[in-house]
Amino acid sequence: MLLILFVLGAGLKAQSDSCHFTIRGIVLDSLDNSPIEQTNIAVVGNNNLHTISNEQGNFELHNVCPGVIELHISHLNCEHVHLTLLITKDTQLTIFIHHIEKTFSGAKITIKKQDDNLDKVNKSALESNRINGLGDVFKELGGVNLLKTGSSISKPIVNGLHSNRVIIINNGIRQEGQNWGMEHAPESDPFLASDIQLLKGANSLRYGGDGIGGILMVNPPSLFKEKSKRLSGDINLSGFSNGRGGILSGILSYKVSDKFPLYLRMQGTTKRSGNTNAPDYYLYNTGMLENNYSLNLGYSKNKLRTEVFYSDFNSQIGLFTGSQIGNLSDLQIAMSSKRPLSKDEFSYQIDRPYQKVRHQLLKSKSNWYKNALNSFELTLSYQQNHREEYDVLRSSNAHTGPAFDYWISTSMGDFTWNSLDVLGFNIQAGIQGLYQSNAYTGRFFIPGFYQIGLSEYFILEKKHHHNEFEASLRHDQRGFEYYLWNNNNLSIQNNNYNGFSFVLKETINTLRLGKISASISSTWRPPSANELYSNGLHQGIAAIEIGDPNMHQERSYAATIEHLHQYKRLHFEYEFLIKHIQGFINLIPGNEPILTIRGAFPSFYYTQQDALIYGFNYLLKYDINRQFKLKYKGALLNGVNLSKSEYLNQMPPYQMSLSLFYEKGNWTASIGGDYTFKQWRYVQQSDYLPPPDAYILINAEIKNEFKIKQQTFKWAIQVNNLFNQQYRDYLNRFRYYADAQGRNIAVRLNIPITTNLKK
Amino acid sequence: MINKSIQTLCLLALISIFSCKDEKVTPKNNPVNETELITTLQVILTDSADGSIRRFTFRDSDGEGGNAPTQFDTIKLDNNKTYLCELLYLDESKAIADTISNDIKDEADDHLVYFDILGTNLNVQILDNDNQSLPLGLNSRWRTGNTSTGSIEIVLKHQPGIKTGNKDLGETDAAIKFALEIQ
Repeated sequence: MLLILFVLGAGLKAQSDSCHFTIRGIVLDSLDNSPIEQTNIAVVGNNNLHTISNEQGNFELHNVCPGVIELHISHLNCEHVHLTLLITKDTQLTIFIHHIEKTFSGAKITIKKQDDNLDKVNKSALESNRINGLGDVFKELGGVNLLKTGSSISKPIVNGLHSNRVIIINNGIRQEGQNWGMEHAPESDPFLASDIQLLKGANSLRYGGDGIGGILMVNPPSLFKEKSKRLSGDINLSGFSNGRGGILSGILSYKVSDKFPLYLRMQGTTKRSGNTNAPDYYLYNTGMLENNYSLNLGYSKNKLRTEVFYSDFNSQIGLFTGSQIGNLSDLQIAMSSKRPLSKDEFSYQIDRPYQKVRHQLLKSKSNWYKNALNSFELTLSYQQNHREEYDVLRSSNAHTGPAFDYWISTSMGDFTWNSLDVLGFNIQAGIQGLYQSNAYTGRFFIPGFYQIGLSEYFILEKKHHHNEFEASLRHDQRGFEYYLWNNNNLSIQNNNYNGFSFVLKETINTLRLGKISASISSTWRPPSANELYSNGLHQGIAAIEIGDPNMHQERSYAATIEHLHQYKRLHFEYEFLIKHIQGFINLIPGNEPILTIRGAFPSFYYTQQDALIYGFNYLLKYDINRQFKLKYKGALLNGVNLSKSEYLNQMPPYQMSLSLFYEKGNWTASIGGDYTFKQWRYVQQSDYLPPPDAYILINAEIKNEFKIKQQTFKWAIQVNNLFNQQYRDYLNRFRYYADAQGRNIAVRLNIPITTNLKK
Repeated sequence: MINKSIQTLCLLALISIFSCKDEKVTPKNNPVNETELITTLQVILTDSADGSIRRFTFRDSDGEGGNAPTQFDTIKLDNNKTYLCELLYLDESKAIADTISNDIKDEADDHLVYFDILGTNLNVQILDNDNQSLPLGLNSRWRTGNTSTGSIEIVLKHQPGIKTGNKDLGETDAAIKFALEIQ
């Protein structure tokens, strides 16, 4: 965030005694003039002179000496700003804080709060995509694609990398589930999210050193912005045609009083849908249901801010029956038939095969603002992820439970020291600990294990005129204890890893050139349980996958160049990225098929090679006039296996999208097309089917806002895949079996609930 | 004062949750399959003339992947004879082997066994039916012709609610291609 300061100095009363002046002021949000509390104001070089703005945004500094002083102003984790004043009398200041995403810290570039860019999802994109789940919201970010399993399971691919190479920070806590699985979507409620970002700077290392693909951050709105004695919140109602589904979600927040600043929030979402349909047929057993709720309790007074958060996510997702194959000939039959051989009818019933997941998170976070320059943060969390997978039963008198289920529970602690202005640097230093256990029952896929992790990190930032320099260094130690069973004999395998990660980034920000940054970074990750020890049939894709217990860690070296600028009505930004990954863990087809009771299956081996990924992401926005706006966006990515001099499989094909927006009064209409090229960069003969053809999808939306008794109601109608285009997506694992989802018409209504409570 | 006590309460709440960890999460479970697995197929052939019995077996005790199959016989039959065939599907990964054939019989309406014969003079006729009078395939009559070699693939399909006699429907539970010699 950037602080833009408008200083209104006004002489009030001259005083002759030295060091008896007072600086009074108010801190306001420049967008809506609402007061901002918890802003630190300090006189540099005088440890006794500092204060924090109160709930009304007011602050006072007494006993200020005459002469030139330097004020240091900072708000929470935002960057600090220096303000030099000549004090000859009591002074009144009005400070406006402009909440702007930090990547736009151009002194002259002013960007509206709701605008999107390559690193951040804007509010309206969040609102129209979240009905399809959190995964679909991520795809609004530059360079992010979705790895799909049918239409109801999607997980983010960041510049070609996914699963264990992407970290998702959910509400400040690293999400820990069975991340390795391609059909395991992130377990988080998109209706709680308000802020979704792809982290690129030095501070991304605070969250992990193993985000080789990237680090995605999902944050709820701040609890501490609530005003006292007021219930505030809203209800979201959505209904959609494809799957005949509906979503009901509500959030309610309350602050007890200014004297007793206790904050409360409750939130819940329930979602239900039935079989979705492709243009020509229903996809049988693709219904899903989801029930989530969360509770948040916070307390903020003086120098302390503390909160406790609990969330419970529950989902049950049917897997398309037509994708159930027993062996290669079933797969051949499924691929060669024009329509799936499963039932073609609508139903809300979720039959086997389905997956059922529960994810619970409990966290506490406390900030202590020691003084204007120093603050401490302690975060403790515990999360438990229980995933059950129910296969088709061969007979009803067989075992009735899940074919396998996993319990992964993770405790984490993080202690961070934030210090501003240490020799002109902002410093963040922290230590993190992790303890994790993973157990399973039923069919073997990955072994049970314990994991212990200890990490330290150090982040530096310095801003000088038009230059901004960021650097971070992180060290991780991770120890795994695997419990391996072979013919009822247990062996325990200990694997230890440790390594450093770093980010160096320099940004130049001028009126003439815009904002240009260059960065280099290196991160690493240990091989995951499936890459080391899997040894069995991956049923959905008819392949036997075999791990290699001798694999070592994977390390990436990356460089990026980003440029962002605004010329009058044209806003553009683009980034080049190049990533060299040493020991890239990849599934490579084996020479010999493996014989099983279901016939012979092709074998795939996890091996390590060197890979190179390079790409170009861009975004252009042009305001044609006051009503019409254009947006053009694209991502071009290539992946090469350097060791074998061939393409990397499963890289996202080139994509671009163009949208036209019309805004008038309280109405907004938009229409846009997404074009996906055919992926021809893959290893020939390495896949059962060549990548599908290029396709274009047209989406449209109409939105309106209206007021009843000072409350703003919002509604929208959106259509995805307007022309019911028949297509298959290269990154959808069900592309062998069926077409992707057809037209979907959705209606959304947002009802505000804001009530002032009388005393 | 209040803030301190609240903070203490929060910490206490967390500590108590950290300490009462669920016992289930210990990574203890060995891959003894509670779930169903077919590890073995025995093809039991009775000579209709003299009642002598031949038994040919495929066995992969740890299921798909892992260790390779431990037994995979070649089916050897005499020429120009008639045999009655019974298929015995077993789950031998459990301490007491489970006879899967019984489950298949109980749910005959959801299962179908078919035979794919390549390169040999063999004729197979399914003798048993399900409740809808569609073929099941656990019992069949095999008539051999002249001396020849080739293969016979025995495929068990699971077709819950969708069985019509079409062998392309449903999911393959087992598919074993035995080498076949008619001597």
